[in-house]
Amino acid sequence: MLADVTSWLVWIFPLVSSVFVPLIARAGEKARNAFVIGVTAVTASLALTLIPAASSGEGGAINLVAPWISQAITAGVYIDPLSVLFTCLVGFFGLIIAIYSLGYMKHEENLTRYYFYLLLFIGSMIGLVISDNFLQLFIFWEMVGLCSYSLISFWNNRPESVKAGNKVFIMTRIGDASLLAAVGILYASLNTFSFHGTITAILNGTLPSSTLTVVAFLVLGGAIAKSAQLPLHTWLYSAMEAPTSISALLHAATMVKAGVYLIARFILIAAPMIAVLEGSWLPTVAWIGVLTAFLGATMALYTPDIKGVLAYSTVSQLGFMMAALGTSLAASESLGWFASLFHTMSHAFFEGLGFLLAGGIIHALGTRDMRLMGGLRKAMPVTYALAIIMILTTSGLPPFAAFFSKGLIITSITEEGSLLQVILIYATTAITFAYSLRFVKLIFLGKESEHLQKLHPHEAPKIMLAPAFVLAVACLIWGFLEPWLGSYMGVAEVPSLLSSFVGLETAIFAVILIPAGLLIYAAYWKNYSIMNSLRSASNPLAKLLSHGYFFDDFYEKVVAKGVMLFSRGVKFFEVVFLEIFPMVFANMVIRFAGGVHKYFEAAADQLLTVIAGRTVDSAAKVKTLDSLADRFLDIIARHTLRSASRAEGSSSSLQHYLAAALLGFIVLVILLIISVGV
Amino acid sequence: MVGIIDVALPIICLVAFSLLTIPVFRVIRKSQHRIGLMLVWFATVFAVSGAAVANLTAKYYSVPSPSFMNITLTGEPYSSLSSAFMIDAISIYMAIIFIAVSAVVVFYSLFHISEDERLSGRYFAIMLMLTAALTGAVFSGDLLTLFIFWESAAAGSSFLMIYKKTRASLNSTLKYLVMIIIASAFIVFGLSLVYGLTGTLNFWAVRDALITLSDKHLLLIAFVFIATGYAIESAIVPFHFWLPDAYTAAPSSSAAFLSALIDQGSYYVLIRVLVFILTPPAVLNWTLMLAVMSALTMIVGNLFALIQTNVKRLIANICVADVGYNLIGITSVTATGLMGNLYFFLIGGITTALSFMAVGLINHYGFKTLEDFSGLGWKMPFVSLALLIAGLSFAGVPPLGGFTAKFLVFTAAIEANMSWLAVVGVLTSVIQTAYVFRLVNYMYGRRPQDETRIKESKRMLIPIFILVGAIIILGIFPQIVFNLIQPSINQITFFP
Repeated sequence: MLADVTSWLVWIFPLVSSVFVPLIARAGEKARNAFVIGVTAVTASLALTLIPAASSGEGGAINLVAPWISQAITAGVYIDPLSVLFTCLVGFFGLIIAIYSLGYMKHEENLTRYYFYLLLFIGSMIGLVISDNFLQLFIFWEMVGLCSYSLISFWNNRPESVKAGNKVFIMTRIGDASLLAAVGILYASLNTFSFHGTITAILNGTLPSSTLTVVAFLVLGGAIAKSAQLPLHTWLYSAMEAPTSISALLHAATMVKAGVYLIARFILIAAPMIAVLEGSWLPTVAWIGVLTAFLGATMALYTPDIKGVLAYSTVSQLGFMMAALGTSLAASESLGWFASLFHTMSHAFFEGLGFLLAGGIIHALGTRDMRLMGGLRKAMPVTYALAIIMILTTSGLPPFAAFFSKGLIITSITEEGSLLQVILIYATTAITFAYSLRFVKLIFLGKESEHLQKLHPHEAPKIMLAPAFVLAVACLIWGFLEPWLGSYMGVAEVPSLLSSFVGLETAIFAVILIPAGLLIYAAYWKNYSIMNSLRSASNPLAKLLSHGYFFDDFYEKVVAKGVMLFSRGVKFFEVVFLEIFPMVFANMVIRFAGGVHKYFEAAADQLLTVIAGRTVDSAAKVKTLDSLADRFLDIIARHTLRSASRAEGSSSSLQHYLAAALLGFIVLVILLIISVGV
Repeated sequence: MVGIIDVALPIICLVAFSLLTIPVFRVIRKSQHRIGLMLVWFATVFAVSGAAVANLTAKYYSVPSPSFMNITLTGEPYSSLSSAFMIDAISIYMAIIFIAVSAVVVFYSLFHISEDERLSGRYFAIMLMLTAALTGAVFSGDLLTLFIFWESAAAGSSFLMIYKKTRASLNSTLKYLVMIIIASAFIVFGLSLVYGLTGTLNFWAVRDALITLSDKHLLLIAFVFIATGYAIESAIVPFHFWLPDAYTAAPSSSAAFLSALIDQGSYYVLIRVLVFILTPPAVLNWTLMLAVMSALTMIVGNLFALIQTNVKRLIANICVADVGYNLIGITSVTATGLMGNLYFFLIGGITTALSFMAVGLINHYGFKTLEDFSGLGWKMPFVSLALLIAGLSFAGVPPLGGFTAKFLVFTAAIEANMSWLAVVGVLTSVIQTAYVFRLVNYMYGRRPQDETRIKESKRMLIPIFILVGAIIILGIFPQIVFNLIQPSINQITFFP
């Protein structure tokens, strides 16, 4: 079967090819670029060939296994609609971004490194979503993290880039540790890493429900860090130091979706025991999603950074996906689960499009500050037109893709979530419209700014516009594929297009956008003073938003300081208890040893003197022994004197030996009497 | 079937070669290739005596499941006072390791002595004679034969100590001799009481008689005397004073021989006489006594080693500490303990021998104290490496032999419900690690004053590195030795 080969090739091919990038770069830039485009194109087509292979339903997944570390730890691929969906997403976007990079990165140096990491990323990301076991998944999970770090710090002569790369790497590490713990606990209790083995164990009920809960929360920890959910979302804004093409690929379309994929996959695996998770885990996922969506949207409302808007928008949209996953009831039949994945795709299209356009604008203007922009619609008409499509999609207006996916999400939350969640989600969609409108107003509408007049910007080159155009088309038609995708993914009740257009949700949806639009209109077109005072830097609300709800300040001032304080404490402990204390103790032992040595000699001397005294006493009674005793005493006295003046460590006298032996004999007798009894 | 000739052959061989060594040396001393010829001579000696032991081993194990074999001159199974031999798996094992280790030490001595002064045949004749006496001691089957062979080995070793005839060696040898004589007196007095009690000196006859003994007061006295005698000879604290003095004053090759053979022989005698033959704990419950002695010996030996600045004296003190570790195994009276002991005889012996050899080579260049050893790792890399490995083996660092040995005896102590003894053992091992690493720190952590590399004598390094290899290989594959030990474990019944 074709899929048997392509499912391996689709991730091994780009991984292996990445190594050849530096080699081929020797042949010249053109050859290298052609090679990269070729590899990404082949990867994308390989990914597409997998679509017919995957079938949904129980046990429908294709699980190919190859021997790896041991009998229990194997490598493998897992083909089901979920993994194929992500594989296609990564393959498609890899190609789009590779083409876009030709234009966007044209004048940069060190592009060999850039393309190497690009291919490495594409390979690892596909490897991540197509793995059939948690260990392989974790390895690729780390590899995409590494690629993200290297690509964020691509301009390694810019201190901000390097700092941002470090920050992202360290913050996502928290989630990696959590995921590793989850994988470790699963292996410890099931002795397998594979999805299939875990599903079987859960079906048979061999996994205790408490273990499943712990694992689920640890997995969620990993997903939170990777998908920039509350409270670890701050790294995504820092990641905007990366080249914009990379932001589009990693931080909008693919890598940040790894968390969504992980949760979606985990829900599939845990499906037979989903009742265990319904009490605490799923609501947690939903709440994290809803809150992230809301807070992310509000932050996008205030930031002056053109990429910042897109970054916070991504955070917010990822929140939508998480919220939908949190409302999914059981496995792939549920609406929430499908809505989340559907939205994953739509978001990839419109956010990718947004980044591609932002890239063109940054190229033309050389700044990311939106306050310096304005009136760009004349200079860049095509970009303007595409941006209109982008914001209409982002806001979820019909008939663009996000209208369908957001409608599904809201339906699923209305069905399964609480009232507060519904209100927050509606509010978020309204704010989404608000920040999108602000985005367009600040960049394209109004008078030409002073900055613009100095620069005379021009339209982006065709090679950058073409990929954006493709994405815009995708935004337009993706929504209409909803019924097809629904049946492909195996959703129980495939939603019809008609029901999407006419429904209570849609009505509320349309109504809610109007006040949001009016608010932005009041602030940016009419410049009402009340709105200006709200926006002024002294306003506490503005302060809250401009500091991103003080998350970063909290991490820097409290968490980092606390850790520093703790490690200083550890150092103190180490110095006192592990250095000074053993030193003192060791010195005591040495002193004691010296003391024992001296004491042995002294004891022997004492014993000798006693014996000598007795001998003298008895000798005095026997006259004939007088002289002998005198002589003996003399010898003893001399020896005692000599040994007293002798330094320790040298050899001792025979008399001491004998005295010690006598002592030992007595000790032996006493001990034996104690142990044997007379 | 093992005959009297088979048993006596190794002893006769060694004695005969020993007597021949002096004339042979006189002949080849003038030759240009005298070292080579001497090597050939000793190769012959050990090949022939090794073959004799091999013959005995083969004949012994040709019986399906061999047990104790009494072999008397008269041919009767038990004789009351005539000399008798007894062969069992332990004696075979001991004879093998004695011959093997003796060969390495003799080769080392050949080079070591010829570095310093004129070669003398006497020295080697005495070494061979001592090996013969030790072999006789392990083969002996009654207390008197054992006494004669063992005392000749113990007293005879004074000739090795006195070889250099310096003031210090004369002094310490004299003291050693006095101690040995006193010990012999204690032993003979004890043996006479045993003979009076049982009417025989044959191991098994004595054992059988003592198990059924009703009044044990006299036995108690006999036991105290015999135990004191043998305690003096194996340098159990507080009878240990002679050992550091004697080993420090003796030439390094002699110290190596003494520590690897005579010392181990003395533990063997302790095991044979006290534990398994004369008075198993069921006859006389002495375990507490020996346990206390063992703890004392470990503590005092290690503490004294800690304060030494003379490296050779430090190693001599490790020998004292090793007595303590061996005593743990003896005290426990378990299969694991016996296994640990027998393994320790080999590993402990070659480790101390190795360190004495290495120190002998280093002393030759005038480095004696710890200060002198500063930066020796750069000046004499090979011999420093050997000393380092010996030190790590002492400290019980896996995978070296010392680790397995200590592990076995500590396990035995725990099995015998004497966990406190194992705790003392582990704690004193910490002290051991401390001074071993102080030595390592001096050798590798400090820069020497003058960094010129000293050319180490290659021919002396060969026996040294044979022992290094043995420590490493036997540490990683202790099964090699365990296979030899296993039959003796199966033979002994611990609680009659």
